[in-house]
Amino acid sequence: MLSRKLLISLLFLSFTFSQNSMSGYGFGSYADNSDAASVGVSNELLPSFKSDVSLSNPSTWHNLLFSYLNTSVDVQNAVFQSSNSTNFSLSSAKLVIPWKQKMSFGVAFEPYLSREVTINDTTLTSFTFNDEEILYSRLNSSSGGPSKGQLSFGYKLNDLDSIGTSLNIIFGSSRNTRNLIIDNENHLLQSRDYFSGTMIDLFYSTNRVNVKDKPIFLSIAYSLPIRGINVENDSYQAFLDLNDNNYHDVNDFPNVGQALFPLTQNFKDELKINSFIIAADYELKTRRHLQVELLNWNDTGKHNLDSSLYGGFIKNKNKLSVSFIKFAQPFTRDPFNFKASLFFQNYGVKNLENVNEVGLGLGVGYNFGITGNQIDFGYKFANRSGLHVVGDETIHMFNIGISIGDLWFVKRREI
Amino acid sequence: MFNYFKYPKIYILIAFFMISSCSEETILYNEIENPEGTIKTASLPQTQNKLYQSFPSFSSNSKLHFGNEKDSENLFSLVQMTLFSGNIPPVSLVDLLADSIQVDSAMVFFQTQDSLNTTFSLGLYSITSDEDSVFSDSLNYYTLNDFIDFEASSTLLQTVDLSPENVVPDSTGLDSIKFMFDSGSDNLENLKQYFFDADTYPARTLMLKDEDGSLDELFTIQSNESTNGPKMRVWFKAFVNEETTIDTFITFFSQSDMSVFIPPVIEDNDFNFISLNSGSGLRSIVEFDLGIIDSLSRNELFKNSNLVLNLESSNLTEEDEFYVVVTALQDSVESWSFSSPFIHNESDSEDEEDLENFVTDSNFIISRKIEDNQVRIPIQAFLQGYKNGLFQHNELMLYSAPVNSPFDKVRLNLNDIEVMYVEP
Repeated sequence: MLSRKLLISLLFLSFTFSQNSMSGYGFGSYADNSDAASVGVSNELLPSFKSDVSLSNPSTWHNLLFSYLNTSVDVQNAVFQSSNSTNFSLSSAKLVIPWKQKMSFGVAFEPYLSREVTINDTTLTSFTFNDEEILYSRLNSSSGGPSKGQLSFGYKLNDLDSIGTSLNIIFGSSRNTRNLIIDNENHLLQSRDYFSGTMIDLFYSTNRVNVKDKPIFLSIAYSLPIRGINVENDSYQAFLDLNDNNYHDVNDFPNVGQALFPLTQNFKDELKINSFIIAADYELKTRRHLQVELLNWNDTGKHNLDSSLYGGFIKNKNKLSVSFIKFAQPFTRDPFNFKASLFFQNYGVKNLENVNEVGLGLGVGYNFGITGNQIDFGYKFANRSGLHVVGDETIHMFNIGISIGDLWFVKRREI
Repeated sequence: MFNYFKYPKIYILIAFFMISSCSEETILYNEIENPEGTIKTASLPQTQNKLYQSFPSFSSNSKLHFGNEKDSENLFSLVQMTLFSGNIPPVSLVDLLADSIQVDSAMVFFQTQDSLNTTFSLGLYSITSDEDSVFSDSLNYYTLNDFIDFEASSTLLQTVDLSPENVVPDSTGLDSIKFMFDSGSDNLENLKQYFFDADTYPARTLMLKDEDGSLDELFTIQSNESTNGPKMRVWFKAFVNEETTIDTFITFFSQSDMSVFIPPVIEDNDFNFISLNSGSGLRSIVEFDLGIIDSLSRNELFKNSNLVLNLESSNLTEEDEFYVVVTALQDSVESWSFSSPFIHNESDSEDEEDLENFVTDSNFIISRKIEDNQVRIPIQAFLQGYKNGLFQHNELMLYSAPVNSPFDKVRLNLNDIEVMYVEP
């Protein structure tokens, strides 16, 4: 019990340390390829966990023989300018339960947005007041970000078609701090954004198309908001943090008892995300697949709350990924999945320069145990250009996931 | 059932990665935004000021003052003694005049922590007023309400010559000043007649006075408020019957006292400055134009905002320290002309409730010492409080700190307040 508590607390802590330059746009950077199995293929809908299953696509889950509990964590290293940042975070926790190979259920918890970023002035600015020279600099930071709770359902329509849906509950908060440092005194302006929203993802997969007598696995997904993501912004009055604890208390100026109450503003439909994904998987040779996925993503949210560190937000993005995967053959001497992929991504940024991203994904999965347990290692290398402030950034992300299969909720006689 | 936690090494590995990899570098930024608007300044002009008189205040009530210092003149001090002695059974002053009592001698004594530089003669008088209490709150030296002319209504009982040689505090830090009334002397008879006879002279009050006004320094004795207050000891014999005579002494203690002096005079020139003196109760209230504060955003923070007052004139010596107190007011000033609780204009109502009573706001009270002929008092807390609605009035009261000598008086020039405010 103690170890479980420790693990949970450490995972929670890790959310506060994920940083890359994209976190400064809008309400933060979006998490993608959340589970380790999909990192190597750089796509979401196409099989990457098993030869016919993607953990991100409920319309494929009915192919599972066992229930799986998957946990993925990632280490991300972002290199920008002459600095680099290495961070750790939980990327996915998911429970998938198939039922009679006909339908499936899933529940997941994943980070949705990350706002962990800190920027500061490189030089001190001088100001003269009453013949006294005052030196100051500014340091702006944001942290946290909303998470996503997901309830999923998959259903096999017939031998060729299957559908799935996910209900996504967005919740959580992020914090913004603007710090004006005058003569080593911190003048803090803090605010907190509370996110709430509901989205739905619709999936459809089919094997109806054949090429050379081999089916092409096609899958499409459409995500739309049921209720746009609303943001409640609590803005606290600026204060001089006399005791340098980053917390407004009675020892600060003005002391917390003499400060104004937080200003609460509600912003409706700040984020309205629509995305469409179409993907195809073709088995070139036995257990060797070629995969292609296209993503179109749009944010039509109002963005009335200007709490972005950069003053711009990502309004759309497009992604193309091409991947090759060799699946393991369970219960043989070939227990490994090997994955390699290339992807190209373009971010359309409101008010600022667009960002381009080119990346490479590599992955290895290892099957073990009678229930098809799997450890996945994923590596992503990406190069971003056109980033505000920093220009170019290089990302190295290493993802590790463990999926434990068992007979939870599955009747033994159906094995 | 599969035990999800049966792979502890994996989780230890995960925890290790998490702890070891959580490092964060800052993205360097050349210009965040709006660099010109981060720090701003403004000038808050003084719009009105008021000189007024409040009740005099002293740094300590534990001493009675003597001597003429600076522009102040000490008149006398009054000490009221208890009617009954502090011994069991209690004996009243009047009891000592009974036929069965023979007063042998008496001693009125005071204690001091001061040493003397000059020689002077201290006189001890008995107040022979028929008023039973000379410490009435309604006693007013300015309006002469309930005025008692103590000097005319008193009888000299004894004098003692004090000099630098005979006033030397010992190792306890104290020395005694004793007025002896020996047996058979006229002084003792006077004491019995004019002081013990509380039926005729109910005030039971002694007056101490610099007889010839030659004391040009401040000399103090311990008052009733201290643990070494004035006392009177009486030695007597009580004839119980022909065979029994009790030879004993009793002690009377002081129960209240006060110093009466003439403070520095309020002069016409005082009205041209911020004039402060606690002895005369001279204070000032200044109003500022704080209109700019209303236009500031809620996140502006005041910094480096000082009330700067230059010393125009004073009676301070080089050794003197003078602290100026600035405080906010709970109520706004209605009349900016001079006012005093002691002096009623013809137009003023006699009702005390109509008197201006400036109540200070304890949320902002600050003091600073005059240094290099200038005092700089930070008032950003007041300005921030005014901005946050903690203070409703754009006025500040200035007065002499209680630690200052009541005889010290300063005149100050006030400049506009130069303020700096920032927004993160």
